Amino acid sequence: MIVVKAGGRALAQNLDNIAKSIAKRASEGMRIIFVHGGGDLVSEYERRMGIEPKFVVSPQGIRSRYTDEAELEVFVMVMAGKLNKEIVSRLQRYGANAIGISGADGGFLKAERKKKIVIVDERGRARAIPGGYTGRIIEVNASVAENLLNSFQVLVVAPIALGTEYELLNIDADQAAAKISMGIKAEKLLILTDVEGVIVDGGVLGSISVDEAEKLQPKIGTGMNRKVMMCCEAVRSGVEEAIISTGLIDDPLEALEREIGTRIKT
Amino acid sequence: MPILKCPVCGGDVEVPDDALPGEFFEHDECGSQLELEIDENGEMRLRQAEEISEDWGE
Repeated sequence: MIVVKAGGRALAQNLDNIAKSIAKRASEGMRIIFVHGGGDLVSEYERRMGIEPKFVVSPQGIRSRYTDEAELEVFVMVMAGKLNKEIVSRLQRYGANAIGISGADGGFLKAERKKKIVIVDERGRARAIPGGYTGRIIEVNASVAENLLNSFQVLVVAPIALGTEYELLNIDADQAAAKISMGIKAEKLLILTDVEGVIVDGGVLGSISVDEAEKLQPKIGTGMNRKVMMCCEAVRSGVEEAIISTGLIDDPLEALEREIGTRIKT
Repeated sequence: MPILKCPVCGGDVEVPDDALPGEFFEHDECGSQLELEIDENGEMRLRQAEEISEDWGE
């Protein structure tokens, strides 16, 4: 099994090619779990519904959505509804029998709600605030994916998990993809983004070991850093190879077969 | 500016007047990371800040 993740920007710019690329591998017998992001689309729908999206910045400079109760409602509607089903329909159009779920369905992804997060507030001072409805994945029920992939070619997963008190939680899609790849013992994890791979000193890194990737982290930008950390965790847990590559080309899943993007191995 | 006690070394920690609950301070003397708590009576106190990772949602 292969886990592929694409962020909202890659999907917004290149959904058609991403879907064709997945459908092509599915027709060749590859079993694929596709995890999608889509934060920008959630923001767009929040504004349409009169809710101004809230963002917070971490001390490391990472800007993230702050998910309160009203935001969570839109998040679930857009991620598990509109976007997930749009991806499923596109895959169906290109011949892949796909099914879409959120991580809450079948108890696929369980997460622990974050009690607090640390932000840098508008005065530039670090402060702990209530965590809202975001979670950290603590369990992947692999049998849900295995059972569905016995009947369908592609499983499309929205980044929503079930909390310990059965509440719905917003989870980071990179983290979801990495944890799923570990939980189902995937051969490969492919993270598609809107850049060519991990860029250090102006150049894209080719193949690097987990140790090298961890040493390079101070040189990598904050958004990419989290992806690299998740890839390292997946590879250390037994995933053969984790690849970070562009989702903006005609056949993005080529990165599984050809030396493009950044490959992280043991 | 209010002066509070460091829960780690017992030294004095100066906190700005506009400090908010949850705000972090590093105690210069012992290097501890401290978090400000303000109770319902407006009483301020410091406690050792817990490690909070950054794996936020999408």
